[in-house]
Amino acid sequence: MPVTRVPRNIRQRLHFKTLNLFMDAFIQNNRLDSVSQVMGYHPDYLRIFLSTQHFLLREDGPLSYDYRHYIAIMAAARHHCTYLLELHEQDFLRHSGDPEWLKGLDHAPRKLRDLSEINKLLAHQPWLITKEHMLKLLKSPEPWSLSELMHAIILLTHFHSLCSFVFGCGISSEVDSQGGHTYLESVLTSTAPTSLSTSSSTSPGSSGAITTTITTTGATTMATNGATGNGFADVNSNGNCQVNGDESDVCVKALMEKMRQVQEAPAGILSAEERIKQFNMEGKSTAEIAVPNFKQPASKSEIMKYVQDSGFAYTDFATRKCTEVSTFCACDYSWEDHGFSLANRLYTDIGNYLDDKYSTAANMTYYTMGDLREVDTSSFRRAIWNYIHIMYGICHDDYDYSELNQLLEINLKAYIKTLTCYPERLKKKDFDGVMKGFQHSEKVHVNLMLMEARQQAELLYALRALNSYLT
Amino acid sequence: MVYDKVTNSSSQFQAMQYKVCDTQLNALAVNKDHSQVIAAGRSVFKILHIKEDGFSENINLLLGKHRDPDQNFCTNDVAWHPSEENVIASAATNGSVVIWNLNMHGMFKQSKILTKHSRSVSRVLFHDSEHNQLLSASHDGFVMIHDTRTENSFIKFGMAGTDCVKDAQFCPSSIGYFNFAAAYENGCVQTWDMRWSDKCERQFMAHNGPVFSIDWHPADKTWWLATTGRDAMIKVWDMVRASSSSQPPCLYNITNIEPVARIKWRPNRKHHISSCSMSVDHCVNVWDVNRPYIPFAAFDGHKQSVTSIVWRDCQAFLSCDKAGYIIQHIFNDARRPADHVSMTGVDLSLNGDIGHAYCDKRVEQTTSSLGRSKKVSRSHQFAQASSSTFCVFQSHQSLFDDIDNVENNDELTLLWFVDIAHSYLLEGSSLVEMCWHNGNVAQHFKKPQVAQFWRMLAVIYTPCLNSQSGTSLATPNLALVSTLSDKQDLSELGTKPVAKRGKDKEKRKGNIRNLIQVDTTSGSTEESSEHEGESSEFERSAPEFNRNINFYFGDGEGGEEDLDDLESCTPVGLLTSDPYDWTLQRLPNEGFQPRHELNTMIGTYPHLMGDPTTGLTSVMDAPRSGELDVLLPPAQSYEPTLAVTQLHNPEPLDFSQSIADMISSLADQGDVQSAVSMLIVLGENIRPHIDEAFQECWYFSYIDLLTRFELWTISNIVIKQSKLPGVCSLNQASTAIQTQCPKCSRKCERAPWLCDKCKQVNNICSVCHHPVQGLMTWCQGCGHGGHLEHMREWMDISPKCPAGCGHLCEYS
Repeated sequence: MPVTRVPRNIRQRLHFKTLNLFMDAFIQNNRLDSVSQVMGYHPDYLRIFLSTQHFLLREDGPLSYDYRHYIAIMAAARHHCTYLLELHEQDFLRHSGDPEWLKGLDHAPRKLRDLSEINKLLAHQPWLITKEHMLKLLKSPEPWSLSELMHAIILLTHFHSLCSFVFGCGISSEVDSQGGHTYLESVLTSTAPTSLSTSSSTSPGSSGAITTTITTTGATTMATNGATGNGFADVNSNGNCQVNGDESDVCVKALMEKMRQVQEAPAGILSAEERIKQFNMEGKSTAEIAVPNFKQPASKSEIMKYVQDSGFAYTDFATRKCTEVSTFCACDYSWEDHGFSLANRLYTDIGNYLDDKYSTAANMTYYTMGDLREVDTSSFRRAIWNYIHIMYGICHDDYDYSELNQLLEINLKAYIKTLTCYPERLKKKDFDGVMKGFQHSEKVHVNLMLMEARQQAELLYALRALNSYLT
Repeated sequence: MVYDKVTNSSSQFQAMQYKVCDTQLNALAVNKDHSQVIAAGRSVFKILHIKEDGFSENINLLLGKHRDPDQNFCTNDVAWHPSEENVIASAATNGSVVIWNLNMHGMFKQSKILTKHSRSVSRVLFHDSEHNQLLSASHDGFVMIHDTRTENSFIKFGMAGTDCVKDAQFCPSSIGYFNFAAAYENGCVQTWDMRWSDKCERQFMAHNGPVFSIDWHPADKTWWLATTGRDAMIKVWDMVRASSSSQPPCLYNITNIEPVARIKWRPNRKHHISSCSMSVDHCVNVWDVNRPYIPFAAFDGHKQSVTSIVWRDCQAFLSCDKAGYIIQHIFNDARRPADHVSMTGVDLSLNGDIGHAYCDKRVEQTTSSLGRSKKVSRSHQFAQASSSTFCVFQSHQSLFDDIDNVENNDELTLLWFVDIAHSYLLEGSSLVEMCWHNGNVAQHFKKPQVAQFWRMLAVIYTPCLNSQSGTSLATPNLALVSTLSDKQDLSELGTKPVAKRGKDKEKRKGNIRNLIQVDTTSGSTEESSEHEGESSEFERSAPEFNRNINFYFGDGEGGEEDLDDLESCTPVGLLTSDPYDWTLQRLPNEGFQPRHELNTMIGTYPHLMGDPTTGLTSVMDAPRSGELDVLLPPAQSYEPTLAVTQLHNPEPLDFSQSIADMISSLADQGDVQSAVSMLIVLGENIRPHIDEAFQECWYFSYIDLLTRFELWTISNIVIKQSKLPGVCSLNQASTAIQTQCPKCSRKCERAPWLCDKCKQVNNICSVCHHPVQGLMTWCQGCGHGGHLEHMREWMDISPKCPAGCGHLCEYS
C-alpha cells in the first residue's frame, strides 16, 4: 500500500470513476503509484493529470524515453524527492537507459548536463531565466532543438511541482522500491520521504521553533498590514485557535465569513500604485514568513549526484538582490494568450493538456468547505493561486492583494510557502497544523492547486525567455 | 520630435514611423478627422499629431513630474469620442474605465473613473450614433454599457463567473442599431440587444480556445462578423441568415500560422481583412477572404508583435507594437507574398493519384502525374515504386483526363500486372490465336480497352477476313463496336478531350433518334436484339458512326428519301471533322455495292482521300467494317441477295502504320505491358513501323517491371522474343555461374564438378555415383543427393537416403 499522510480509512472510499481511472493508470504504468491514489479524491483532475503525464512520458515527443526519465530524475533531485527519483530511475532503466548515467550527472551526456543550469533556476528562482540561457542551450556544441527544449522545460516544471505535491501529501516510496517495504509506523507518521526520516517527529525542538517563528512573524505582519485589513485581528486569533486544535469548525466558519466579506465588500477599485504597493508589501510579508530552516540532513549521495550547485535555493522575490528583474506582469505574458500558443507550436498538443490541467485544478469545486455545503470557494481558490504567483513575482493587475491577508491565515501561508519553495522541508506537523476542519480531499485540492500554480509560474518565465529568444 | 521617413510614395499619405516609448503599446485610437492619435500602453498615454510627413507629440497625459499615482497603470484599450474632440475613454488592466477630458485645466485630465468592473477591462468603445453610450468589456465576464454623461448609470450584460470577455463590438448602426457582439475566452461569441440585458440574442461556438478579437464588416447590408482566436483561424460568419438558436454559417476560413491578436476589416474593400499575430510573427497581413492561405498583402517594419491596427482609409493604416513604435503603413509599399510563391499545385484524386502541376520555363504550364497513392501499404512499396515508373510515360500528356480511367484499388497495388503478365501468351501459338487469347485475358482483368485492341488485332490479322461476312464475324461484333470507341478515346484524348466531349453531347441527341430508327427497322430477329444491347454503348462512344448505320438501314429499306437523307447528313463538314477513309471500307462484302445510288457516294472519296489525317482514321475503319458486318444480318433478312454479291476486289490493306500508332499511344499512356506484348505477338508484322529506340525503351521498362515483381521467366521470354539486338543481349550477359567446391570453398573453374585443389570429384549422385552435371537435388537433412530424376525415382521406392546414411530424407 502506498504511504501517505492521509488516513487509510478515508482513502478506501473509492468513487467508481476513480476506480476506472486507477485501472487505466495501472495498465499504463504497470503500477498504481501513490500519487495517483491520492489524487483519486479528484477523479476529474486525476484523469487529466494521468493523460498529461502519459503524454509527456510515453507518447510521441521530441525527446527519447531515456532522456525524459533522466530529466525527471534531475528535476526530482533538485528537491531531494526520493520517491520520484527512485520511480524514474527504474523507468529509466526499463526504457533501456544507460545504467552508467545513473552514477551521476557527470556520467550523463553533455546535453543533459547543460540542462542542469535551467533546472536549478526553474526550481528555485525562475525569474532569473533569460534568453541567454536559452541561447546557450540552443547553440551549445550539443545543441537542443527548440521542441526538445520545450519538452524538457515542461518535464522539468512538471516534476518540480510534482515534488511539491509529493511532499505535501507525504507520499513515500513505493512498496517495491528500496526502503519502501521496511517502513515503521513511526516513520509513516513522520515525514515520509526517506531522505528526511532522520528528522522525524521525535524532534520537537524544530517544530517548536516553527510555531514560535510563526507567532512572531504574525505579529510583524499585523504591524505592517494593520492599516489595510480590519479583519486581521480575527485571522490572528484564529491562528491562536488552531493551537488549541479543537475548534476546527470555528476556523472554517471564520474563513467563510471572510470570504463573504470579501465578496460583498464593494471592491473599491484600487489604483495601480496602491496595488503594486500591496503586491510588494505582500511579497515582503511573505518573505518574512519563516520557513522551517533546519539544517538539511547531510543529503544522501544518491540524490546529490544528480545535483550541481546544491547550495542554490529559493530566495524571496521581494528581497531579491538584483533589482533589474522586474515584477512579471501577468497581463503582458499570460498563459492563455501567449504561453499556450508557443508551447503548442513547439510541442504539439501539450498546450491543450496543460490548459485542461490548469483550468481543472483552479476551477474544480464541490461547493464544500469542511462540513459545510453550498460554499462558493472561488475567492479562496483564487487567493491561493495568486499567493503562489506572488512568491515568484508574478503580479496580476486586477487582483486586490489585500484579500489575501483576509483569506489566508498566517500558518496556511507558511505552509504554502514551505511547500512551494522548500518542499523538502515540510513536516507532518505542518500538514496537520493548517486548514483545520477541512476535509482531507480539500487539503489535497489545495496541494493540487499549489502544484499547478507553481508549474504555471515556472513555465511562464521559461516561455517568456524562449519567446524573447525567438523574436 | 524624432521621426524617420521610411519611403516616399505617390499616394496621399506617407509611410512613417515614430518611437513613442520603450515599453509596450497596447492600443491606438484616432480622432474623427485623423489628425491626432492616442497611443496607450503600460504607463504610456500620449496624444500625437499626425502630420503629412510624420508624427509629433502633442500631449503626454502621464507626465513624470505631475505624476498622479492613479494614472500609473497599464491601458488595454482607448477610444476617442465620436463627436466631442476632447473626450477619450480608456480601459485599464486594474478594472477601471477612465474618461478623460482634454479641456480640463492642469495636468489632471481624468474626468471620470468608472470602477464597475472587478477585473481587467479589455475593450472600450463608443457607439457610432448614440455618442454617449460607452461599451466596456471585462475579464470578469461582463459587458457594460455606460452613459458617459452620468457617473452611475450603466447596464450589465452577462453572468458572473462566466469566462472572460476578450472583445466586444457594436454592430454598425446601419444594420443593427441596438446590437453588439461579445467574444469570450471559452471560444464562444454572443450577440446582445442593448435593450434586453437578461439574455443574449444568440450564442455560438466560434473557435476552439479563446476568441481574441472580433470585427463587424463596416459595409452596409453586409452582416458579416469576423472572429479570430488562439486556434489561429480567422472566420467570417454570416450573421443574418441563421435562426437565432443555431450556429450561423461560416462563410470564410483563413488559416494563419500563429494565433491572431487583432483583426480589422479594410475599409471600402468587401473582402479584405487585416490581422496581426500574437507573438512571433511581426508583420501585419491583409487577407483576401477568398484566398485563405496566402496574405493578399503583408506589411513589415515592426520589430515586435503588433498590438493594434487602425485604418485611416483604404490605402493607409496605423499600427503599434510592443516595442513602442507607431508606424503608418501605405498600401503601395506592401509586400505581396503571392507574387513570390512558386506556382505549383498538388491534388489527390479519387483513385489515389497525385496530380502535380508546376510551372515550367519552356512550356507555359505542364502537368505530370504520379501514379502514386497514399493508400498503398508498406507491403506494396514495390508496386508503388514501379507505378512511378509508369508515370514517365504519362508525363508527355498535359492532361489529367487520362488518369481518370477506370482505376480501382486493385489497380493501385498492381496485382493485375502480375496476373496479366502470367496469363499473356507471347509465343508458341499462331498470331491470331494469341491475340484472341490475350484479348480474353485482358477482358478478364477488366481492361476492356486493351481487350478490344487485342481482338482488333486478331481480326485484322485473320487471314480469311474476306470470307462471307455473315459467318466469320458474328462473334467479334461486340468487341469491335467498343474497340472503335476505345480507339477514339485513345487517339483523341491527347488532343482534344474537351472539344470532343462537347461534340459528343451535341451529337448524342441526333443519335438517340437514329437509334430508335435502328430498333424499329431491325425488327425482332435474335441478332438485332443483341445489337440493341450494344447499340447503347456505341451510341455513347461513336455517335457519328451511328449516323452512318442509320443510313444503311434506311437504305436497306429502299426508301429514296433515305438516300437524300444520307447526302444531307454526311456533309463535307462532318466528314472532314471526323475524316473517314472510304477506300478502306469493305463495302463490297456487304453487298451494298450493286446499289446504284451508292456510286454517287463512292464518287466522293477522292475528295476524302486528300484528308491529311488518314493515318489515324485508317485504324478506325477496321472496326467500322466489322460493325457493318454485324449489322448486316437483319438487312440480309430483308434482302438476301445483297449478301452474296462480290464484285469489288479487296485491296490489300495496310494497317501496320495505324497499329503502330495505336501501340505508341498505349505506351504513351503508360501501359508498357500491353504495348510490349503486342509488339512481341505481332513480331515482324509491326516491328519495322516503330522506331527501334522507342521499342527498346518500352522493352526495357517492361523488363524492369517484370524483374521488380520477380517474374524472371516471363522477363526472359520477353527478352528472347524481343528480337531487338539491344534487348536480346540482356540475357546473354553474365550467364556463367561457377560452382564452389564444398570442401575448400574454391571456385571450380575447369569443370563444375571437379575441384582442382582437392583433386576430387564433387556432387556425385548418390544413386548412380556419377558426377551430376545438370539439375541436382539434395536432402537438407543429411546432405546427400543426386540427379533430380534419380532421386525422384529413389524416393518412390524408399524414404531412406540412397547414400545409406539412414536418414529419412525429406523433399518438398
